[in-house]
Amino acid sequence: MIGVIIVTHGDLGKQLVKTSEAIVGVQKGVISLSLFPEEGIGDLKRKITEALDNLGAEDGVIIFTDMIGGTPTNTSLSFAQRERLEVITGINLPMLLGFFSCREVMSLDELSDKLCQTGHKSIVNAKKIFLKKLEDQKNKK
Amino acid sequence: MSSVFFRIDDRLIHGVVVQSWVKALDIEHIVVADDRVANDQMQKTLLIMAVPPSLKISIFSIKESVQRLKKGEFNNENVLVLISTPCDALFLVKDGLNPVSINVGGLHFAPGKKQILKAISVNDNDIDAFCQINDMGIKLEVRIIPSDTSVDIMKYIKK
Repeated sequence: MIGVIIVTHGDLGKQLVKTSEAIVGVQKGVISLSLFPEEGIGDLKRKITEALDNLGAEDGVIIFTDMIGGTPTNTSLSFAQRERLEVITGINLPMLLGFFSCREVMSLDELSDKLCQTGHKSIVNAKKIFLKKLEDQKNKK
Repeated sequence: MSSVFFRIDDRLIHGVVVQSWVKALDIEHIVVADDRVANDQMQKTLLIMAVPPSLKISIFSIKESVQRLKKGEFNNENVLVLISTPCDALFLVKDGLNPVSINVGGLHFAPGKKQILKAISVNDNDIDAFCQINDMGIKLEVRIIPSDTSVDIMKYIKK
């Protein structure tokens, strides 16, 4: 199974996990780490190291972070030399749900690619799409 | 083998349905049986938008849903029938559908309702409908998501 660590500013990651689990049920092999204003990079690095040790994910690990350039991402990238570890930034709910539903049927590489696509595809102007569909439905009649 | 699964959920299609139930039951076709939605183009479009393109969705009035299901129109597919209220479910079974069980997935709180379980709040009409369905020998099992432990709603309803 592929493990996951979510590293974010504040409780963003914890709430994403909580919300996902309300939809797809309680998940194994998930650790979320928060960076609070009073904490330094050293604290976070230590927490990530511990999380990687505790996860024991034999098929690899994806670290999701919230924003490129932020401390959670920068600190996660200090583990970039490790094998079977990916760091993907810009985590959102569709990506995390996609991770949980595909983690056992895809390789780390396949899953990483797929989740980046999921993330890109999930950001749309919902109002524009809705109004277009509404128009299409009316024309069908 | 194809099968038909019934769920009462006042949100009809939402994240839990699309992300969890569809996958757990290998659903190919969602049938929304709801008079209000069937007559509201806005609501219809919203629900159509909520399902992934790989999944079929049909929205009919309750009466039409029953007719089509009875005709065996979806016999080759795994179908999830979504109903928004216990009273609608009662109509469905009174009109001749005879499922072994109905899943109760979400009835949210509103004034005049009493909360009996985490995501289940009922009023007197709901209780009456549940009792009648139960009396017909149909099991009413509460599960919000597929991995929840199944609970018999009748244990939480006082007649």
